[in-house]
Amino acid sequence: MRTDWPDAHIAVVRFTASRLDALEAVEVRRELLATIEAGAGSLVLDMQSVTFVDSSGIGMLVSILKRLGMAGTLVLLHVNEHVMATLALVQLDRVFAIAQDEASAIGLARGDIGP
Amino acid sequence: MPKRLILPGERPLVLVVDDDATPRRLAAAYVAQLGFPVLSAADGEEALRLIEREPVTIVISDWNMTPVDGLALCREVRARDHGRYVYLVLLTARSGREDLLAGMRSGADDFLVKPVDRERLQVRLRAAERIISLERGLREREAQLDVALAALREDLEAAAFAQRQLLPAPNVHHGALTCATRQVASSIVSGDIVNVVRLCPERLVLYALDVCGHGARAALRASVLRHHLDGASLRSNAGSGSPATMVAELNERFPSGDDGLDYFTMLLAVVDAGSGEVRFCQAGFPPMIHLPAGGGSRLVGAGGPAVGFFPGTTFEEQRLALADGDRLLIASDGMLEARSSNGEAFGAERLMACAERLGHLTAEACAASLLETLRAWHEDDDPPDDITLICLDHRGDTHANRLA
Repeated sequence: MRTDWPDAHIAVVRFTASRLDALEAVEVRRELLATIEAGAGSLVLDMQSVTFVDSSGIGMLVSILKRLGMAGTLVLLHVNEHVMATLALVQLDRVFAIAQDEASAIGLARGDIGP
Repeated sequence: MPKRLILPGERPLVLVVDDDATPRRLAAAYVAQLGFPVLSAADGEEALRLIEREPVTIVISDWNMTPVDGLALCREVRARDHGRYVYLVLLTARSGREDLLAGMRSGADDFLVKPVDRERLQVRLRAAERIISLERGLREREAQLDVALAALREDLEAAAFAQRQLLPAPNVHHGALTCATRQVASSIVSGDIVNVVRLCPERLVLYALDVCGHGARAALRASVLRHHLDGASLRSNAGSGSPATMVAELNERFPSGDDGLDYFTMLLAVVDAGSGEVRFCQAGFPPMIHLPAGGGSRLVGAGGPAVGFFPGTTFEEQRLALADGDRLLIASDGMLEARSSNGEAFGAERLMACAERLGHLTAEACAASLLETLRAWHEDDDPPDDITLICLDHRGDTHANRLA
């Protein structure tokens, strides 16, 4: 995972793993919580590398969304078709903000915490 | 191989090996004076026999012996598993770098210069005793871990046995309905639950529930949910029989914890035993498969949110009419996501195609056959995720005939 900070309150986290499963989710959650601790009010998760998300991965994403609270936004970027179907099955495609390119992802993230 | 148990606190048994009797007796006498139990051997072969038979843990061996010399003895001891560590000290008049390296390569732990000096011997024995005590502690801990692991596994097996006793009868008849259920756990206990309940003479309730993840945590949660569903949920909703209300109640009563890993997906259906009308709530569970009597198949269910994520979530009721001779399949994602060796998921399309070919079989035979096909697909006895399959038949005529 690599993290960029387009500004002090928005972190773009780029996954490197191809599977977001029970094994991976624990570590990813720890890192994302640390990123929120470090000041990220909203997160953009670049899922370019991710080809598979299991139920634990989904649970982890929801726990991060809840952790960000009402003021923050969780934006999923570059979600592959199969992962999208997994999210859609539990209707989380309506809950997460989803973006196709980085500029609009950062825009979505900024929209909720900007003045 | 006989293995003698070495009691903690017992001093290590020392074996002195030398084909020359005088230095052998002298060394053995020193060892005994230093408070160690001691054995002697006149050559390498006798030494190996003694190490096999007695709980020797320190060997002090001369280098030059025939036919088995000190180096060969070291190599032979290292090659065998004695169930304990044997600390090897080579006696030598040699002090060259190459000699010491050869000794270490053969497995020697330490060297002692001939003729044996009592003080140097004492220091070597103390070092040996420390190493042996450390090694003994490690082995004991390893044995304790083995015992703990076996106990955990036994516990899980017992839990799995209890869980299997909660499974519904493999084949339930109710009015015009026949319902076959199958379940396969991925890790002894299952995070899937399935049940078929006769709610009243007119209604059959069936549900499949899949707790996030698998293993003990998911299984315990699944058991708690089942207890609640079969008790409070069904009692308080027997009148209305509203599946969406029951699921909404579960959503409020069982929110997921902070790490997000306790949510679950489920499909709860209330089926009219006479008309075949199905009212169901699909909460994050894969769509059902409807196989009309006339052939073909289609996916049923517009989807819905999972249970436990957000309080206040609205769950919707959907409906389906089963005509006489129709069949309905409910499969958990463990079945749809099961992968072949080349990584291809079993998938809903394949399940539909297989099921279409099994229309002539009873619900029970159809479910059994589909699981057989799935097992061949993932080529493994343990599926990666828990698997649940329900096969519901609405066969008004045949059932009425059988009763008549």
